[in-house]
Amino acid sequence: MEHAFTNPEFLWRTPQPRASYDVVIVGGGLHGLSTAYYLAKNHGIRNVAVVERGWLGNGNAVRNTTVIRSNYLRAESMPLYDFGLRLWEGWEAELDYDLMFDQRGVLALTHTKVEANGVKRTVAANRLTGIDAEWLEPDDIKAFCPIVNVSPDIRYPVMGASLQRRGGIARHDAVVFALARAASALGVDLLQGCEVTGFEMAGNRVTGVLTSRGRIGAGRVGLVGAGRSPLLAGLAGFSLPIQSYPLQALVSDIVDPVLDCVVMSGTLHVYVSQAQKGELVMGAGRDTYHSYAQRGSFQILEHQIQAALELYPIMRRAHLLRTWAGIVDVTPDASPILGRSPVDALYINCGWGTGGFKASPVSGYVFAHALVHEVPHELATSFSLERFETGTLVDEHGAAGVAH
Amino acid sequence: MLLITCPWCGAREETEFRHGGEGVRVPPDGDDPGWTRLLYYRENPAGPYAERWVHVHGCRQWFHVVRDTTTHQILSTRRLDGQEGAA
Amino acid sequence: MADGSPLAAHLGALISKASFDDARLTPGARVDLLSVRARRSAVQRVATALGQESLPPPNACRATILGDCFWLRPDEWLFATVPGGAEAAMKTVEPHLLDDGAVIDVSGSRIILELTGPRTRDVLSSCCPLDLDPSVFEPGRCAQSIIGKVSVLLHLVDATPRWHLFVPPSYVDYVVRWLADGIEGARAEQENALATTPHSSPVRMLP
Ligand SMILES: Cc1cc2nc3c(=O)[nH]c(=O)nc-3n(C[C@H](O)[C@H](O)[C@H](O)COP(=O)(O)OP(=O)(O)OC[C@H]3O[C@@H](n4cnc5c(N)ncnc54)[C@H](O)[C@@H]3O)c2cc1C
Ligand SMILES: [Zn+2]
Repeated sequence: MEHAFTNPEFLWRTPQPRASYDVVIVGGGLHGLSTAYYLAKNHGIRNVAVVERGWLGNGNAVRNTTVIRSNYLRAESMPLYDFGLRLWEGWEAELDYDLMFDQRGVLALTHTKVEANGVKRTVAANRLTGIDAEWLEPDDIKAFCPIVNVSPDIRYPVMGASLQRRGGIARHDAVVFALARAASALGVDLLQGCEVTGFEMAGNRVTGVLTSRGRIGAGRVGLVGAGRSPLLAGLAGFSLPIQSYPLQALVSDIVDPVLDCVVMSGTLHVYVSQAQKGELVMGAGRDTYHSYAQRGSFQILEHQIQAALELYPIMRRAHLLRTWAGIVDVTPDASPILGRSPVDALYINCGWGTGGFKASPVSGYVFAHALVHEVPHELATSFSLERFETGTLVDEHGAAGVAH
Repeated sequence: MLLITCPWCGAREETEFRHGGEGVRVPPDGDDPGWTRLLYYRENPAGPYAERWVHVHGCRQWFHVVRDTTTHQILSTRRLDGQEGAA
Repeated sequence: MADGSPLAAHLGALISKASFDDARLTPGARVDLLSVRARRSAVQRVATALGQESLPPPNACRATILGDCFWLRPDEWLFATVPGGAEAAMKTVEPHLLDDGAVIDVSGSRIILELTGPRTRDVLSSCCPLDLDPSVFEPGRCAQSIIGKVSVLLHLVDATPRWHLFVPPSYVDYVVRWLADGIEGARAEQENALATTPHSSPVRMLP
């Protein structure tokens, strides 16, 4: 049959599943694709499949608000996230794809003394670690980002802000396309519509995955399921200290350029950037209840719009165009879980929660290392599952709260 | 937005409530893995989930809810003391 | 605005500017307030002493010899009694509690706002999530809910409808601004309807 339109050239191959692979990655979001890419690129492991229940990038990969930064607080986290940011700085060239990666600067406003002290502490910690960070007074904020309302008569006047100039945004679906193309070209099989429904075990060792497209043997398996990670762990017979919640975001209609940086406010509970196309992209805190339904409650959006109007009176005239939610995998300390699981040959990469887009490169980079060497990459030694038993948590609630 | 039936006040909008997480937590016998589970692990099922809510802007009572996490449908609510109704 | 009202100085202008015939906001009567918390046995003794069969059930208000009595939660009721009447009222209740409850003078913990007029359901709906339809919310009912983000106790006094809102004093400013905004909206809607409905008379021209 003749079609009136021809499809554009596909960016990746669509192979049939092989009987087995050296490594099977479960989850075709950014972190799964990134892991497969680095397995092939850094370690020469090309007999790899990414199995994805829906289509590549149906989950949080394309539901996030694309904020990229590395100004976390803890000695364990800062090197991890900053290595990730440095990978971003080379990724467009490396992947040969326009990711619209734009280091336009990330401002984190403060509105109370306590918050200001906390953010100043983070600025100091960042600088001591070699991460760019500045403290701005209200006048400097006004100069850097004129639409912020810094007048003293609002409910929570702006008391200052941190600025990471190397922070910014990127186009999330372009990153999915770029990674899928690069991984596929290196030999990785990307298997869509392939839901993992169980694991094949020999004793305590995983030997394959059972999927909606049949059994696939695996030397090693990496679980990279974001919000659905607890369900995958359940299929393999263990639990994760993760709770799955909706996280919502919204965009306005397209408006003239008014905002050329990312601005967050923890106290008022909103962050905003303007996409290159012109929409104002807004996010805030997660919903309070557990969910796998990829939607949340209206009052969360209402609250963040109220906050935005207080901070940016200019946004009064914008219209709400679209809202959506993803399911985020939240750990007790707001840090990821990377490495071994209780099952032999089964590795986990999850718990990035509300803030894993920025970590897309580094997550795959260090997880590929763990899959190959069976020990964590040196940047990831503090993020094992065992930390919840030893009590050595990496508390990043301050850095990860409303700020993704 | 959820419409939650408080066992005392009837159907009210979610904004009057606070979510309290997993319903029943049992302290362990004293071993470390037990405490790890108590502190950091929660049920997180896809499907019916037993949780607690508190009617914080209403009658301030805690109560049990069973809610489906894949549809958000509230399957049942009942008083903590197990009694029926609001009498 | 009533003289001497704690609201008058601060919010009088805002309130009277917003009010119109179909939705009017005024300071409510001043009252003393009592909180009675009691176990079941004591509840019955208190009710009997007040000549009632029982204290009001959930989300209901009843008139008693000590003034309006509101259900707050399974073991707490609020009495709104005459100004200066708290002490006498406590003396009436206390002997019947024995060791099964407590009565506390909470006068000043809430201020009453009165909202009257046929458009007040619309006004409240702009800021309060309760279902206030007459078929489910009848005179004599009360409910604790929110206005904006603030807890209030709301009482439908009669079918005018006349509402009493019990608001923590520190939040009165906030609540009044929400209500004034709702009233402003209801009035504008009404004026628009008058201006654009062909059959309405007199037809008012908007600038
Ligand atoms: C609204 C929102 C805003 C956000 N904003 C930011 C931000 O500004 N900055 C930031 O750094 N981070 C942000 N995040 C977080 C970020 O999106 C996530 O941390 C990150 O995308 C998670 O990694 P992923 O892309 O691999 O996840 P996903 O894309 O969710 O990938 C998981 C994949 O696993 C698949 N899967 C699950 N179960 C199975 C199964 N049984 N079999 C096969 N496949 C399965 C899913 O279908 C899915 O494709 C945000 C998230 C949301 C929801
Ligand atoms: Zn209630």
